[in-house]
Amino acid sequence: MKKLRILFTLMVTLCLSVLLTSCARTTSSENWDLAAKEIDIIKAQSPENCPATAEGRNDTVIIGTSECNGVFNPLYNETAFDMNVTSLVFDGMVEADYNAVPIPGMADFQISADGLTYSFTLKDGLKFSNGIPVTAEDVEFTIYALCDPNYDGPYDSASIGIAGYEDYVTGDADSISGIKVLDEKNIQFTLEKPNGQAIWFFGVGILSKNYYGKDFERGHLETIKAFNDQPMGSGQYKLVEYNLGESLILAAHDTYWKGTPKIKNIIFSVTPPGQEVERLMTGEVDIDFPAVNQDTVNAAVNAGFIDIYRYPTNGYSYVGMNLIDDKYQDQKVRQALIYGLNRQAVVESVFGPYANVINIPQSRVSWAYDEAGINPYNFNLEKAAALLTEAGWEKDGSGKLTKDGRNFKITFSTSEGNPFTDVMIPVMQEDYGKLGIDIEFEYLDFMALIGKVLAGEADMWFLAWDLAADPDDGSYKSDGAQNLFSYANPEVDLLWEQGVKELDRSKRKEIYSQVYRKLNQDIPCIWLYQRSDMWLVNCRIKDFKVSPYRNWTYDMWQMEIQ
Amino acid sequence: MKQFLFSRLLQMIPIVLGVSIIVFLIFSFVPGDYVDGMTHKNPKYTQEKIDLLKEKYGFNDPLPVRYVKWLTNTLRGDLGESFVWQRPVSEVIKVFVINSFYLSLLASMIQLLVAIPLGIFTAVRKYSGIDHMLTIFSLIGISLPSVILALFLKKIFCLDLQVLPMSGIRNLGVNLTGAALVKDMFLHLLLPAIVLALTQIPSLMRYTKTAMLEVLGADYMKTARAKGLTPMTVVYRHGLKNALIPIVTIIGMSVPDLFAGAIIIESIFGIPGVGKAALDAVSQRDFPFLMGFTMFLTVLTMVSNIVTDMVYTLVDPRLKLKGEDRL
Repeated sequence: MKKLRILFTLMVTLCLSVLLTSCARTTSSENWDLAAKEIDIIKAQSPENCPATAEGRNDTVIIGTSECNGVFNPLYNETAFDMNVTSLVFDGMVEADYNAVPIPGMADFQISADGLTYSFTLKDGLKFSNGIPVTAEDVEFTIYALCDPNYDGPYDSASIGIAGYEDYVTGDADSISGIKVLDEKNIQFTLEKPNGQAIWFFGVGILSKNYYGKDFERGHLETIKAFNDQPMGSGQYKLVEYNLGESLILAAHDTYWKGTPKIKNIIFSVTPPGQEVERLMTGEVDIDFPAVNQDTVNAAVNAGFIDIYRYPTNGYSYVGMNLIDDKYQDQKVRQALIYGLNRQAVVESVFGPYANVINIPQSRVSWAYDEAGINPYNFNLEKAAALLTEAGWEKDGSGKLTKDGRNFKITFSTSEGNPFTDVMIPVMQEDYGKLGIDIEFEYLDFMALIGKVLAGEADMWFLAWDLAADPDDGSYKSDGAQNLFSYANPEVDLLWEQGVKELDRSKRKEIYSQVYRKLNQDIPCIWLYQRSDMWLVNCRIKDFKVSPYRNWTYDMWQMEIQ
Repeated sequence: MKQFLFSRLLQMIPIVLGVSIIVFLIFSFVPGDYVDGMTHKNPKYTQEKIDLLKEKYGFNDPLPVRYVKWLTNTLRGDLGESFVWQRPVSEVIKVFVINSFYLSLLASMIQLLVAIPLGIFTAVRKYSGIDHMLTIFSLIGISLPSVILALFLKKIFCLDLQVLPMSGIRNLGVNLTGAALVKDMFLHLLLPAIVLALTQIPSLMRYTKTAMLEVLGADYMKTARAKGLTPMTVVYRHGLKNALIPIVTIIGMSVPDLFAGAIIIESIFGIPGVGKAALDAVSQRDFPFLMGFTMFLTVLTMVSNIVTDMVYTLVDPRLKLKGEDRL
């Protein structure tokens, strides 16, 4: 099965690249700025090329998606597909604007000066798609579900620190003292200590108590989960039909509080991997999300009727090291390993202009990003060798690096068929070999790789992280749940703590700048690259807006078909 | 006949049990689990929550306990809940198997309609130019990966000529019923079915040819011809009927394939079939679904074997089922 899959991916890639390159006319890389902070947009040049199939759909948009399995519940959604659907069906009280700044959604909010009290006032005219108005009780119900002792979804309710949360979870109290419904439209939350990322917690999509909460009592989330495939919210669209693995159909919510969506129907349809551009070209879909490389960009540009929206992916790839191992404990060794890897060359050869090397774990478009005082660790083998010598590693007679009678030996684990590691591994092997490092590679199936890393059994590995709108990041805290590297630096821990308590954004930024400078010096892992995401949109769809922090689904109601 | 059925069905029980143990063991040895895959990229998951999830999915129980749990639930008719699809496994299998079945049925029809006549033809016209040509074609067909063929045909018919739809099993956003729906699905499934059939035609064609060649040289064929029967009657009435036994075996053995899905074709043509679903289940470690689906195929294979054995007696009256009274 595994072999089949590799063979299959290989063949598809091969054949598609032949198909696509054969029709590529010009390259458009000069339009893309590698360091651009904004979203790069290439508008279609010849809209008249739009196929009749697409033109015929006057009130319907078809969106290509890679998967069609899901949990359409804002409390539990995980995958990109689920999030697209839930953000169309549900609205929350807080949204992110294009720059990751929290803005009012269904409610206006006020945070007290001490950062402890969050007051929300619901807007007028809010209605669930079944016609029942949204009230503060629905908000209360949703937040109680998130704070339930048996809640097992992605929200980390404990870290928010709502007053009385602990007592409620342990069963010492029957309600959470920090949640107060003032009247039908007003609700207030009290925190135990200030928390800079709490505001996002309150942005969760609001569930209708009347619909979801009929049988709910503490500890019985299964009564809510029972509706996972029959979502009902106050958002822009409502679910009409869901065909497992095939399609999902939404219709406009007529009483949507911002205004009835202009496009009546949305259909999500599964696109076979690697055929996103082809489906757009035949008019079978209007919007799709292909992998970004020169071939897909060229094909989309040449089609003439496809608008391109490209922006930096909110996430990054890295080479992880198991810092518990003696050999990685010296900061100089870790610096030597990052100096000794020609990241720039590998990233350029795999992604062309559509990715950039990173030196701190933050997106270059984030407000917290700060390059000041950051070492770029440009490829430098001499420096790497010198650092290793300083750390006490000497080459023996056969050219192998040794210290205290032990050879420098790395076992590198990666998943099969990854286009990036396929290029990186030979480069790494050669350059690390020159340094006298003995490096071995093992290929695992993706889930096996994750299993090995999470179990702490991997020595060095290649994986990626997602980033959130808020810069607080558990992967580099010594007690962080997702600290896969076993990285521990008390100074950094302290800064993270300060950062999350601070509410003033410019002060927070200063704290995170310090964190990044320290991390950049410490090298808890070898950061590699931030690549690009790209939405291709048939130019008959007007007012498509997207950013790494605000998905286009939030402004779907304004889009129009021309 | 009844006794035959009874004893064969009884034999199925230990075999199915044995298979289920082996399959369960194999799946449990696969490294990584669904919870790791779901949580590894999201820094918001705390260790407590990951532990809670693993407990909920039953990953913390010892292996024998997990197997017994699975077995008792299955015997009660509950195959469990699929991790990926978040609904009962039996429901998921039903949805996907139906789509795969439509595809495979169309492919099998094309296959039978093309392969058997061609097999007979090449047997009758042995060593003719057409025979050589078809032999070459069938060798190409056997060795050519279906991916290449699929992408090639897709480029011609879907991208360049735009006469057939690119992917899916039906047009979305239009509510078709009756004949219009059948026609729409037929157009969507035509190209994938042709590709699927093209890769299977050569082998069936060659089996038919071999079986026919054996029969054509038999004495009773000479007798038939000596009686003055027309060549057509000789070949079809006397020859084909006797050559059918090995062919029936092959067709019988391929019945489970109708429900097993075609991983590559389904993936390329975006058909929500069970092959693609099973592949996704492997990569995401959705073991309830994989267990359920594997056992479904196991039972299906065994049942179709029994049915094949019974069909033999219809094709060849000389064969008697064990336990059936001799006339």
